[in-house]
Amino acid sequence: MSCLSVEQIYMYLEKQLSPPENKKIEKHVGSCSKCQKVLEERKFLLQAVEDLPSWQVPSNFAQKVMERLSPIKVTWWGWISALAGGFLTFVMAFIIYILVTGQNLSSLFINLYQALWEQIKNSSLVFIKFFKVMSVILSTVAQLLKSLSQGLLQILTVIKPEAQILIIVILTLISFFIIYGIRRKFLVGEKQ
Amino acid sequence: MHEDKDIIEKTLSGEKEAFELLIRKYENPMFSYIGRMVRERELALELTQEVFLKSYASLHSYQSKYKFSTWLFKIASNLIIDYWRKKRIPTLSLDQQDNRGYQKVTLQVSDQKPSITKKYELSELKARIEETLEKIPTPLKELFIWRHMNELSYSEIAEIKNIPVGTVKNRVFQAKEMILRLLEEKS
Repeated sequence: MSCLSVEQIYMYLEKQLSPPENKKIEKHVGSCSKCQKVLEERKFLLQAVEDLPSWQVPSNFAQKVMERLSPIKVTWWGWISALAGGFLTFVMAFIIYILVTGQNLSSLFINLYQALWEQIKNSSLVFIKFFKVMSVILSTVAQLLKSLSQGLLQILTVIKPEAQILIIVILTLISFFIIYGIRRKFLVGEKQ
Repeated sequence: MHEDKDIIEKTLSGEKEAFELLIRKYENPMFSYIGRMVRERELALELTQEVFLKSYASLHSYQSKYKFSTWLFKIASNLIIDYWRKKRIPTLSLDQQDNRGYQKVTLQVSDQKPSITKKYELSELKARIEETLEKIPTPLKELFIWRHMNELSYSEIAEIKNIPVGTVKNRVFQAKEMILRLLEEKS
């Protein structure tokens, strides 16, 4: 038998060969000092590699990761199955209602329509009051903004154009950093 | 011992705490792999955390026909590549010709060089191997670490990298021979 290839030797050491192939190699190595030397060398290398210590995380690592976990995203089929489930429940409730009350479909819809209309009529009064309050709030805000802009215009007539540009640049930079900071805060995986 | 699949099912059904078992099981193998790839403890810790966060966020896309560990290593491998790309860190590629020995690896036995068995004690050899790992091309190093340090099978590695098993075997072989040559050359 001719000398072994290095690949064969590795396969033997890693127990990747069949029993007859292993026997062949053992027989050859027993009678060939050159292959024996190569085998010993590779064996020593693999032993050293496999003995290398594992890198160890700090003891609170898992806990830290658990604290940073964000909710699992719901997939599109998750949404569809939730909707389908909801729809089926509605249909079931509908059928049970018909069976229990003995109402036919048209009278049920008429009753539903009447009940809904009553609700709308009652709630519309609340809505009117809400919109009135909102209009008062909005007109106050508008007045406030108007006075603010007038005040700003008066300040601008006093400040030089160069200073105005400087103020605008500073304000733009501040808003950029605020937006960037918010983005970092909410981005999963960003360094805390 | 809980099966990975059971833990994943529990996590997906809303038992978030179950995921901690998976973290504890894979934290050190994952940290060892990433640590040896990036060679910086703090960065490796950060990337290891990232692997678990990403795997949790996309757990619903995990297919149980694959082993969870291989899926996790795939995420880690992509994360490291993305990190290097973002930071524009150059890595030794397989095409580079200046990696000593790599292009010259032959399949036949040579007895010209001094043997590492005579040159080093086991403890010294281990330290030298860690240093030598830095000098071999990244694609070879990654497969070598998975095979001989994380003890993944050749077919698992082939699955992670989506390459034929024969290619994996050949690359791991090249890595080992390259390490050996570098160790022999070291004075």
